[in-house]
Amino acid sequence: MKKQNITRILAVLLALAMLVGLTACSGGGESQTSAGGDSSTSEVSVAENDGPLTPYEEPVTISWAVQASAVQQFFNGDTYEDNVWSRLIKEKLNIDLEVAFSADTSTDAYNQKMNVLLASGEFPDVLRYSDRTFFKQAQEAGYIQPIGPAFDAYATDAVKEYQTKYAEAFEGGTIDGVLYAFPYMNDNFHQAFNLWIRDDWLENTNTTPPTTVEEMVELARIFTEEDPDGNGVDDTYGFGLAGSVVQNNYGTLCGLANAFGVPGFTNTGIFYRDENNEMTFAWIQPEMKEVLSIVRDMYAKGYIDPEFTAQDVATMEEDVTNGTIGMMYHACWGTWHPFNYSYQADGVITRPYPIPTEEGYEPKIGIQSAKTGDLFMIGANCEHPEAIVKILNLYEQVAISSDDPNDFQTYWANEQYRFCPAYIGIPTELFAPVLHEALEAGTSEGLNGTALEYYNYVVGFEDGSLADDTNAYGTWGQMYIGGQGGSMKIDLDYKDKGWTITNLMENEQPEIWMQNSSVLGDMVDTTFVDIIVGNQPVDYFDTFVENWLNAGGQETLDALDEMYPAE
Amino acid sequence: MLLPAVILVAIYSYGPMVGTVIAFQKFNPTKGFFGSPWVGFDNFKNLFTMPTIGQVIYNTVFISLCKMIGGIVVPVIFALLLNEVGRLTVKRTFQTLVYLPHFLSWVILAGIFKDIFSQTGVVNIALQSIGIGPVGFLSNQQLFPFTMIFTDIWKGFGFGSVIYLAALTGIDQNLYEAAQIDGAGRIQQTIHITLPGILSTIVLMTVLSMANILNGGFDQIYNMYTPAVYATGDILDTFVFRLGIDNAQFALSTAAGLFKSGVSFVFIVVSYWMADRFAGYRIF
Repeated sequence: MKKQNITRILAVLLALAMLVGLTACSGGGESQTSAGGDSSTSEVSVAENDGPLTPYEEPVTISWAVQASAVQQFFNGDTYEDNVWSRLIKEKLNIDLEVAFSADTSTDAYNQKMNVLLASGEFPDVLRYSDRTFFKQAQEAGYIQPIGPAFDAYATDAVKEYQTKYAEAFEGGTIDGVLYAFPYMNDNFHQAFNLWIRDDWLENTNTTPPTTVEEMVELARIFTEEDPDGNGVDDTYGFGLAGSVVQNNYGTLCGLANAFGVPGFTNTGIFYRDENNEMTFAWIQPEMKEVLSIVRDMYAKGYIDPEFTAQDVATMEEDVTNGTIGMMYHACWGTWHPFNYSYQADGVITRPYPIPTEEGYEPKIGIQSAKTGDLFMIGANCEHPEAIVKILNLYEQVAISSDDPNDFQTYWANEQYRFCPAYIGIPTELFAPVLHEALEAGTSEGLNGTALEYYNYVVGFEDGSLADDTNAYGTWGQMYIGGQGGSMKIDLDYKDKGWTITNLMENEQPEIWMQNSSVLGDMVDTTFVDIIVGNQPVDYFDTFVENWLNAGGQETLDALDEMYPAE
Repeated sequence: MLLPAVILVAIYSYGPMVGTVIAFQKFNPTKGFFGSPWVGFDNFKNLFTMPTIGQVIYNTVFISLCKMIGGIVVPVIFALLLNEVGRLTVKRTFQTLVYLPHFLSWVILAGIFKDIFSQTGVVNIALQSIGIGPVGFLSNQQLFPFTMIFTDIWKGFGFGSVIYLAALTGIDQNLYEAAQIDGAGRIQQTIHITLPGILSTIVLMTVLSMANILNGGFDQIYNMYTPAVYATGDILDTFVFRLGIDNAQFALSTAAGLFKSGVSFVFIVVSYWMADRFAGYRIF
């Protein structure tokens, strides 16, 4: 009897609980939809006593999302909460910065945080993110507000100039003709891969940098077998590869694939039109068979760490620091990371070379469209969108065009610019043409601000006066012009040769792709690794292509064909 | 007295259940549960036409079955062995030592295991000294599931054995004395008295663990796997995680979660019935 009573009470309670749950959730749903209404696009007028850099009379608080990163450097006890930028912004504009949250961008944490944010709708005043689906969904839901009106009213002329100079990047932050986000300035020629090799190992083994794939494999053999570090122990590997073989900027086989005319980068890129004008995807090209068999061969012969599949970029950093890897493909910023570690540890210089090529193939190098890239968005609840424009103005004045070199050192160098919640992100790379000219002429005349700093870094690194400065090493690796030159000279050369292929999939993605890209990406990762370590024969690649096409790949290609019609 | 517990369960367990409706929607997080369009069973259809889903389900069932079996056999044997130890201090020490790993998080243990199972780790150094290996415990597709099973059992067997040790103390000592007089040795005593004595506990633990058939152990595997072992190591939870959190396919991953709950529910009902039938165990 007693048992039955308890059951009955429980049942009633549970029914009640479910009701409570239902109402609680419907409440949440309502508040979510109501936020959408007021995305006013009306003109913003500037009060008489207000200007692009006028401080607020009453302190204004701006909350921002911190993209924490392993590369961030902290000096004098600075934190994300209290640092050079937060103090400067407080002093000059009377704006208090408040960290809404911080999540690591070196891992998936930030992406995960963003997806959670989209579900909760609790946006900070400023956040930086590149995902266009996120951007669009946030705009549709009214979680972000347009920056256009405030930008037009408050931006200084110098800041507005970027809008004309990098029109394509600004287009990427525009929805239905309204500027919803301040973009990163983009021209993505510098996303190309270079082959990075340690100077000292080349010297110790009396070898020259490879220009063909065959020579590259031979160099990997020498670096593995002929004790390039001269310590008498067989502890070196010729070729650096991480477990996600196409996913990262370094420790990938992308550069090798490029040599065979496969413009792939990451397991979800790149889409392009082939010579028959057909929409296609990089990793399903038949040339990949040759690429994979070369890597498979290198693995079998021990030029690659036998346990590379369990390695991520963090463990590769260790290998670079410990000096056990001699050569790897990397994007243009190798001297900034991770080769700065071996430079700091042992003074070893690692420099970039053009990717070795294969006879009979024209290299194809895949880059992203300039319309993609990071965006600074303003949360719908931000009461002072113009405050963010003021911060951008201040940034331009202090970190870009200041005549005082100390400003640059304090507010830009050593990753300090990342402390600024919204900044004008100009990839170093875009200064390359100007710098090359100046270095060629041997004079810094006519350069100012950032460009002048870069010039001094390169010259200072070469004459030894800045040899201890890792910024100088980083800049030098990208910008120097002697010999084959730094990564910029190499990348510009790729561009001149017409090797670069722009990803056709921009901000708009087919439904089928959004749904299946995770699984399709897994297929790329696992198939390539399986073939390299010998779990599957090279011919398994044909099965992979078939599977990839059947699992939504073909539908994606068809949809893209319609979305981005041939010109 | 029951009320606070019921309220908590209602808020944190029953309330969120409403969210499962998104398994039947083309869910857009910004539109919420009630603004997103309904799509019937489309998400399930998509889920089960994914090329790797069969393998993922197989991996999940295989890994969790092995963990279940090992998670019963090992603690029982250990409890029996420990029961034979005469000195109380030794017994207590061992019991505490093997119990400790239960309290360590997989995040920490994963780091430790990655280190000791790597090609240059202590296990491989030991193996190489007797002429085997190096063995890729975490990178070899065939070995990876067994590494997961082994480490999981290692972590949990101390905890599991406590229950059996408790059951052992409940056995009537007179039975042993009678058996000794009849001339039964240690092994015969174990087979004829000890094992039957704790059999009901073993059966109960077995049926109760059956509901975990689709729980391969997310935090363990997520922290130790790599794309190289997806083929044998990817379980439903990790698959759903990559789909849902990394790729923002909330509806699809909810469908997978709901499927998992459905299967677990069936197993719970069956195991409850079996617990009643074979071990005489009832909740209500």
